Amino acid sequence: MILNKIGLALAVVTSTLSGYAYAQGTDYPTQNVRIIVPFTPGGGTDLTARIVADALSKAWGQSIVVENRPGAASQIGIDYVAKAKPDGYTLLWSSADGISVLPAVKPKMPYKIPESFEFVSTFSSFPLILGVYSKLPITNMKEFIDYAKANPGKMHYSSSGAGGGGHLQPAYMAKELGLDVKHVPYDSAAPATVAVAGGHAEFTDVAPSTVSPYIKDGTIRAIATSGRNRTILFPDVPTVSELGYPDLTEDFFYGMYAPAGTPAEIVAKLRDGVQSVLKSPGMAERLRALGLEPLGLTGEEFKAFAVADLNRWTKIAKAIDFQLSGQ
Amino acid sequence: MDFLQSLLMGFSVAMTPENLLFCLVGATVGTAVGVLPGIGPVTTIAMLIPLTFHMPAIGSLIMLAGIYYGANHAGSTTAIMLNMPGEPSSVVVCLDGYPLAKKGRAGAALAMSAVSSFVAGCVAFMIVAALSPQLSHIALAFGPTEYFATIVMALIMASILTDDSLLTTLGMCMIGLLIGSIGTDLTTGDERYAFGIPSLSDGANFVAVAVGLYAFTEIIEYSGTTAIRQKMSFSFRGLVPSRDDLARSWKPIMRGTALGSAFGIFPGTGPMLSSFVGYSMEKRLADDPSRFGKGAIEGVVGPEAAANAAAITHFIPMLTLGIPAGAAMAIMLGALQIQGIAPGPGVMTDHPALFWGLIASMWIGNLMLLVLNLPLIGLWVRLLGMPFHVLYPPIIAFSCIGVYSEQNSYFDILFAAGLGLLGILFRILGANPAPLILSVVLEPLLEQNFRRAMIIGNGDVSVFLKNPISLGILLFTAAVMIYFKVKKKTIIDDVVNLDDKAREPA
Repeated sequence: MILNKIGLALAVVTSTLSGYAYAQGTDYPTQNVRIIVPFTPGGGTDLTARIVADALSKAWGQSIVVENRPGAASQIGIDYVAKAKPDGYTLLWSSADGISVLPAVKPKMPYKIPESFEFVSTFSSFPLILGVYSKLPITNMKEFIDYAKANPGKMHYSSSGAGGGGHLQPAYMAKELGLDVKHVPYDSAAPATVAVAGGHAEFTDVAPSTVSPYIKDGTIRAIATSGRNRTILFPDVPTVSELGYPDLTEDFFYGMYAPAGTPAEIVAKLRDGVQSVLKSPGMAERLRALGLEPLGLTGEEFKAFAVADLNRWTKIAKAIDFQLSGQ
Repeated sequence: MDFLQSLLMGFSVAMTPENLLFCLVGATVGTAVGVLPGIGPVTTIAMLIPLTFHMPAIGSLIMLAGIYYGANHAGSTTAIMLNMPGEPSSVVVCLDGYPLAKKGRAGAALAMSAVSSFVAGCVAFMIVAALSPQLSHIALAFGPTEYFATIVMALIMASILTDDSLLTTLGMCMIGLLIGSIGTDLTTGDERYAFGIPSLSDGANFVAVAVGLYAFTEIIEYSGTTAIRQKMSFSFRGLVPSRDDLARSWKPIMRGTALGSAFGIFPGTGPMLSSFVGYSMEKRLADDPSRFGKGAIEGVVGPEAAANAAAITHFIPMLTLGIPAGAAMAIMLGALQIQGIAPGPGVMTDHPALFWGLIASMWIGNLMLLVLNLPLIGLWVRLLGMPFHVLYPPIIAFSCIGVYSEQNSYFDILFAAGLGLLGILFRILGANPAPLILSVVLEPLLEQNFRRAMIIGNGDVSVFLKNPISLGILLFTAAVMIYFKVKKKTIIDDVVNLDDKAREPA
């Protein structure tokens, strides 16, 4: 049923958008397509990749296989695609971490943003929620700042890993607000969140879907969201901009990339494919339930967006004197 | 009252024809992928995720869970038959399961392992049903200091796992910790000992380490002997467990179950730790510990019961804290989220049908596995009747495929081959690789939690003593060490031991 609808939606979209008509001129794909996810299975990047791969497989009648190549904060999987043959049969599905955050803080990167990729399409975005251990006397941003200032060096934030958004966002915030806090790295978002729920760290910045059960449970209190807009999962939680810190605003994004030099008609067909999945009936609701906001930037627009994000993080890393050591 | 209600609800969900079918499909697929190397449960579950988009949440979870424990169970089968542990918790099954198989008692070992899994599953299921609301809070109390203490305890327990001298065992632990420290540094993001090899950047591949140290070592050793044994002895008497097996087994099964149920509530590490600790406990409690490592049935059923009990109680931290026990579980949690169910403290109250239905289905699934596997035992044993020169080449091929498919990396096969040679060296030196394997798996946890504790404690090691839980665990560990020191359990010179083992007549 749902498959039929997706297929139908795809057919309608591809046939009605006359500007994209040349995309139909290619017989791509004639063999299995691999989408590389630079993280382990089960996380947000992997799940969104599988949603899209499943829908595209049905629509194109070709297997679109998701392949996980995790490692080095997503650098390994991304580099694999950057060096792959640009024939449209090896694609990248990545979160913003390895595209616009890691290259800003790591001195030597094996790939270049934007030169190494064709920017196919974004799929969704999400903010990070600032959550604090609920037994602390902190119910809003002001109390958070006051408490941190009264306890210098005693506040710790847990992160989903060194050099990712969950590390940089609170590090930047601490610098902006003049707070003396320490970083406690975990290997993914779930244990980092549980550490705060159990009081082993005082606060964290994580995706809405990860922190949501603990906010409902009352073990973690949401103080602010980094998003441009409030998230539907927590309509009462103010944005950093509303609280008077517009500089802290940040939305992270998932999207599809192809190796630089992939033929334009293949990139166009992929772009139309991702767009039609994004616009398929019920998809927006499904994403919002996962704490994701649909985001359909394509081509040059997507590229400009990613480059702006990278420049922003590069500036921040310089301003707060943050660099991931080594390599 | 609540207990009975939960139980009844669980079974009413799991017993619908549709869910029974999902359970059967899962257990069957799991057994198949667990026995056939080359495609592991992780790949299988990941591939089936899109299918579950269009299935009811409980049905898809029951099916995926079936694949998970079906494959776990099959992992013990390959450990017993081929000395090839498919996952961390079946490493200890190799220690006595494979010697039993070599004695021609593979059938008994397989049957008893299936029975002990089933019994442990039943008991653990009751424990979860009775205590889960209380248990879900315990794990939250565990922070970096408590985890560090727990892992130290596990490593000390493992060091009394084998007959080797304390020095040998600690040496094996250290080598394991070194191999385990390969990978990306959590705090700085730097790569350590990876030499720019992509497949090492996230740490050494466990399957490569296990296949290298067990299966490859085994094959290299036999291909080196001049007297090529034609086949393993095989008799129908060896197929069925004897009265003696049952008499020896029931206590270890009960102890293993109790231990596993308790360890299972630790997020992330439960099932594996409990199988290792279960083994060393059985060995220490045995009247004649020297039988261990040469085919003691207690050394199979104790850890098997512990691992399976832990696998079931482990659903508590997994579903209530969202921390998976491994890659396969991580994908299942992802599948749950796609279905709109966020793992977390609210899972049991918000989705009681799902939680209890899943737990009940695991019990039913274990029964199915028992029914499914018992008739297969004859087939397995017949397979072992093949001459080694016919049996080994396909084992090498399948092992290589299995190692390769973990990360699609050719390097991992070479890595496993190198460890195979290292394994031969260990055999010559008479050192048992089991503590090494445990250390490889535990190193990242040990190190990460130590460093987190140091960050939180401002670099002061006394944090481990100031914290009541970690202090208690460390004191207990010290007590265990002193107890065995005082008791002066004979440490047998394993060099002689291993030589005997290698020359054991077929």
